[in-house]
Amino acid sequence: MFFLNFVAAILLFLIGLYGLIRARNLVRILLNLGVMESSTYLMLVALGYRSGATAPIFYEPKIVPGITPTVDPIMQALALTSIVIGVVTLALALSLIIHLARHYRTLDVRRIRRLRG
Amino acid sequence: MPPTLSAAPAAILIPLGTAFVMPLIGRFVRHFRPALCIASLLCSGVVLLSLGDPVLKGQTLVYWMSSWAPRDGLAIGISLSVDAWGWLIALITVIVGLASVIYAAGYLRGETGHETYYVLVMLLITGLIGFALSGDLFNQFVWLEVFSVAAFALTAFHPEHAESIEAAFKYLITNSIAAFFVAIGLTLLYLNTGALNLAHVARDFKPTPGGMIGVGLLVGGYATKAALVPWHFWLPDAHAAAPTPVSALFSGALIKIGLYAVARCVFTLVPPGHNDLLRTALIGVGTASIFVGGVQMLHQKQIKRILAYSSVAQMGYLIIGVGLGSPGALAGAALHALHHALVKSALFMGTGAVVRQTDAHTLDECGGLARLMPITFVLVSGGTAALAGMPFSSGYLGKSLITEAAKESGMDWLSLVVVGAGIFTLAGMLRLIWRVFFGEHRTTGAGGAHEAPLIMLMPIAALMIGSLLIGFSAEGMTKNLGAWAAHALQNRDAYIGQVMEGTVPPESLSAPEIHPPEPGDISHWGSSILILVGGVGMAYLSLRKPFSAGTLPYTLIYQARRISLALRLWHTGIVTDYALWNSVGTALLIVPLMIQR
Repeated sequence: MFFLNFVAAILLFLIGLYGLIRARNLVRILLNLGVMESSTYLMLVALGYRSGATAPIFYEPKIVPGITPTVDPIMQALALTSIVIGVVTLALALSLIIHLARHYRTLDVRRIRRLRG
Repeated sequence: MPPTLSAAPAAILIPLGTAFVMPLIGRFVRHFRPALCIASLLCSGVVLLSLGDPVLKGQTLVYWMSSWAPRDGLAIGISLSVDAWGWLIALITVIVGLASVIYAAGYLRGETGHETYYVLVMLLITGLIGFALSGDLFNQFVWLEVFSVAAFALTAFHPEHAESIEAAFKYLITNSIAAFFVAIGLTLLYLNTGALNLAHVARDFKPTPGGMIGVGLLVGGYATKAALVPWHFWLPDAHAAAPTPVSALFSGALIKIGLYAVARCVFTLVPPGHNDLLRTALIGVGTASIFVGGVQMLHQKQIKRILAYSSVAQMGYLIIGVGLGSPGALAGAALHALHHALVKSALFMGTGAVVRQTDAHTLDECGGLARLMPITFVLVSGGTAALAGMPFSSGYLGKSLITEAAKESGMDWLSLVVVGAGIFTLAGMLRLIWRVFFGEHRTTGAGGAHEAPLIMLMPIAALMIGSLLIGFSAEGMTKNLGAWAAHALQNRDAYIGQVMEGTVPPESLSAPEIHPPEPGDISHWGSSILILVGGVGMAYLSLRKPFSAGTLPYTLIYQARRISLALRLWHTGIVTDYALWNSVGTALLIVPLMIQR
């Protein structure tokens, strides 16, 4: 199960990267960035997953540390943190795109290249 | 717990607190915002200096957040692990940050958006200090995102300029990809070792394919921050488009964090015996950076882009020091990082003063400013001499240490690369100085220019004095600072032991013996003289009128121009191309790691 998730995450990452490199529209670049981002979430959550395990809430009397199988909470915390970071970047990038559209009157990445050389 | 230990978080918390408090009390302290930032940075600097004594005796100070110290050899908590290497980079950040904030107080006069500016700058500095002090891979990733987002926003500080927005967007896309590489890399390392603490990961690291790919992705991601070729495309755009005090911070502190992290990965994460090929690859990367940065410097039109490409070349220089990996080379890299932070931020601020006073952004618009802005002229010229590594400047020290180390490692050809870097740097800078400060005024703006205000000149002068002090106390700096930074990187077991068990093995507390050449010793001046002659010659060739066609120099320069044109066309300006090179570079870095598994 873990292996499958892992392969899926890597495939998703590569698809996102390929899409980003091939993209011509700024918004499409961001969408592909989102795909790459999701692959990191999938990887993190899959890494913490244990088959048949429960949440590590140790004040529940039914759950005994070291005996009841629990999932790895660190990875889930990391995934949450990554999601927050992703949202910040996405919001900033979208606002930059609005400004770019105003200045250049286009969203074509090949025509937004005043800085080069 | 000794008092110095618990002080470590304060170095991060004070600037972070300032960033959060500023918007709350901003309207009452309108004219004191820079003063507030300066005070908080001074406090942070004092905290760092108070940690200096044990750190510069070879210790690694460890602070466990909420006292979650490792139990049964498992480190679950987040640690701040301060050793000489991280401490030096944090100190560089504070110094450059201070100069940048003082400069900004003059630079931003007459502009709006001060509050946003200072909040973002404090967040940027906080992120950089946090990254340098943190001893946890995921914590480092979070700091990386904190300073990156602040840096993206600061690049776009002038949304009315199309170039700033364009640069910020390219910066954001390339560095987000780098951040994903880092994220995937540290996930693979967690899979390999079941830990995220740097020391714990290093202890349990098994050189499996997954682990090696993880390290490769980390190094690739951090190389984007360090702006090495072929990850460097964001740098000239962002440095040229950002407000000048921010460019100084980028060049002085932000790209040094990339260097810090790359060196950490190479020496602390990868077990010894597995990183030789990677280090050789880094020497190749460094040589490429010097070449690309140097050639690109010679045909730039924008003033700040010249300095930005010089930063690419200098980062190549530093990564060669890391790649050589001997104590002398690492000490040289550490001292050269300090030198470059001081001098390059001074140069950015100096040329930024020209840009601000004349409103000219390209070389063609300035001219004849030596008489109108004499102090700026003297400071920029001094910075150029230091950057080219003339004796008695700070640049001489790092240059000679790295050259010596290259000779000891049997790579004599690297001294040629070092001399070449100096020649390109000097030629590019002399071209800038000649076009900006000599000749005729070319615009009305330049004709009416006058000297920059004192508050902008002071930090530049202070940084240049610092550079001179380093140059004159070569022996002391190497013994007390450089040697310990090299010691921190090389004693992997001591780092792991001090973080995981809290013990200091006594044999780890002796610095390697490194002897820098005395700056006054004329027998070592050969390379500097070569650089001086070559640099002046190259600058002359780039400035004089073209040779008549058919003569030999014409043909030679024509061929050289073709190479430089090819390099220029490589910087297409299309962000997806940059993303492609980013990935190609990272993929290529994984190869040496996989071979030497």
